[in-house]
Amino acid sequence: MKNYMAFFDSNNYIKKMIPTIIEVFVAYYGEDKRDEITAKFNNALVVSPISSESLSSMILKLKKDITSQLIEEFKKNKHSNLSTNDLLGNVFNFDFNVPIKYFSDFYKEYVNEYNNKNIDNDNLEKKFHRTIELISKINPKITLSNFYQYLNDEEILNLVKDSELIDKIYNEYNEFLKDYNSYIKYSESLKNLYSIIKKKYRKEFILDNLDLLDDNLKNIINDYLNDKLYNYKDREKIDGIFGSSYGGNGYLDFFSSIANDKLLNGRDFEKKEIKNNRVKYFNTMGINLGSNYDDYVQANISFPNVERVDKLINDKNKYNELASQEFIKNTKSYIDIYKEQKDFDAINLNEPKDILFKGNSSLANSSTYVRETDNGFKLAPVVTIGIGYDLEGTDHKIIHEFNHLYELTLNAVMNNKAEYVCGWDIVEDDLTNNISSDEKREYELFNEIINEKITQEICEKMQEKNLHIFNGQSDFMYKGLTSYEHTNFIVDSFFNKYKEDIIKSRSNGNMRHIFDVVGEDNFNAMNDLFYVFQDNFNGSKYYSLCSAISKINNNEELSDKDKDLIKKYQLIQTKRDKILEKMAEYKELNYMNNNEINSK
Amino acid sequence: MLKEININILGLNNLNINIDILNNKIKNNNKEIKFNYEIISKLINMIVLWKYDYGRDNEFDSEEFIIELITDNENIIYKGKGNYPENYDDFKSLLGELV
Repeated sequence: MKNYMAFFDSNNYIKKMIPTIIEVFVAYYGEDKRDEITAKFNNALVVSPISSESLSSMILKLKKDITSQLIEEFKKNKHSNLSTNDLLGNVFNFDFNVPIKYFSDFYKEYVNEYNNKNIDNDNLEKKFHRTIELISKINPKITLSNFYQYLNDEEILNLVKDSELIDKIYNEYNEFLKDYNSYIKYSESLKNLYSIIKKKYRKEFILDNLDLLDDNLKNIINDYLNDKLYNYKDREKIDGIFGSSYGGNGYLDFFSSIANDKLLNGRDFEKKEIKNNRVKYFNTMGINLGSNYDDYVQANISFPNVERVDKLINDKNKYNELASQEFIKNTKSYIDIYKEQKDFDAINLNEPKDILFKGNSSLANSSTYVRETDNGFKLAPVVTIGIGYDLEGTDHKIIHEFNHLYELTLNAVMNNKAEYVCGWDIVEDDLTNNISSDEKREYELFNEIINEKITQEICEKMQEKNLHIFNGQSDFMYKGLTSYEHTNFIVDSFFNKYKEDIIKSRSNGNMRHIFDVVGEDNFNAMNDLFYVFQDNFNGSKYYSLCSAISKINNNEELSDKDKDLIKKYQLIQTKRDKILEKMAEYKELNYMNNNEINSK
Repeated sequence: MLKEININILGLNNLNINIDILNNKIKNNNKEIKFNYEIISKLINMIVLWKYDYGRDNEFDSEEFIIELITDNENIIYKGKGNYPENYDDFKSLLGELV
């Protein structure tokens, strides 16, 4: 089973595992790199946030895993001729009763009442009703009144034995969960807290915008606002106007200044959607002139005031933000990481980002920061490993980010700008305003795929040496998880042929080394292929390419679109091969020149 | 008329959702899943009011999104890396319900 305890306590656990991560990297890069690796990894702040949703999702997975094991135990030991599916139903976890458990509850009560000669009570009848479907699979003639005739029936006796078995299994299930009870209770408390906070700010938002509802809708919502009702009636109308409290735009959003701008300057589809939603708004307000938006314009109906709608949207965003902030700042994950970041004392390292604590917090990144010391500016990097729904990829994420950390150097701090080199990637941060440059970094994509290839080799080493962090041998995944691998076909040969030089060039800003080996022009030509790839195959087009390649492999007919994609793909391959030839020639020439010089 | 929606979340995570509106089919990383028109409508309603490009941040491995709305005569792209629309969390939550 997965190491759930580690995941639940990820922020503490990952820090304890830094020595293991160091061993993993030393195993790959060599003992001579131990001091450098140790210094770099111990110098960073490593945090592992977990959102309320991720925590809840992990608890469900934990319960499912335990349940799967117990189902196997039940299958091996059951007595009844009925199938496991008949006895357990589509059981997800043992928080809920399964058919044989209902039988068990009924049977215990029945025997008790039978012995007391009191089998005509309502409670017993209810319990029988819950188990009648299972009993009728044995014998459809059995009823509550004639059940006593079947007490020694072989199949009923088997069900009785299986009842004892299921009671034992439910006890085992609860025993298993005892160790996790504090996390389960904490998760429940977070859900309650979220619900309370969400409702509080939803009410404030509605109160601030009550003027946008007509008298009828105001009356409907009054009981909700006064806490007489948990929720309001006519939700469709009110949520239609304001948007649902759980996301999505309301019809009024389509009268904002942004919507107006799109109506003038946007794309045809966007204009159509804006008009459709405006018609829906009018219909909700009781004005129905058909589905043609222009009819509403020409009818001189009063449109919602743009400034008023912009205020509505600002209020919605404001209250969503307040709710989010209040909730997140009350979670242990945020509180702990906030304190750590504050104590880490890096320039511009402010509060942790909200996105790390929302939804599926499966994000991971390495962030560049510096701190000022008596000896000048020093690197103060932060590595974030979010724990989300995809637990099996956690160790892979850690290695990927720590490899960025290993390859990270502070180049210079001048004129309030910090320049970092990470592998082949150059990053510049403005220290005065914490605003990142939004220019695409020259070697960003090339750098990421090479980092990923090194990561996968390190992961292979981990498996070989049976070194693990969060994942175990059986739930460790490290291939096909990232979109960077879509460009494997560009770099595979290059990486395999020049691996040693690649690794040497990525350490401590040593990019000149790979230029010297393969030629700077050739290296940049290979880098250019990533831009070609992005222009032609980014996002869903890559999957269309994969589909076209699959059709070729299966001798299926290609559409014109498929042929166009294949042509572009082959063009990249051809260019890649030419570049690889030139790299080899350059290296050979360099080698011959160096030999000539040495011999002189 | 809207024919297709492609939702790509790129980087260290890799999510590709292809929504074939005409044939009522959805694929999540190439596996077919249940078509939910209500959630898809809500997603469209959010996307059409977004900017086309939210820019990029300077962090390594920050999440990138690329969303395409494909109609009979248009291919509309919305994207960003490390910078997201205001209601991106709600968008991701709805996406979570879809898949």
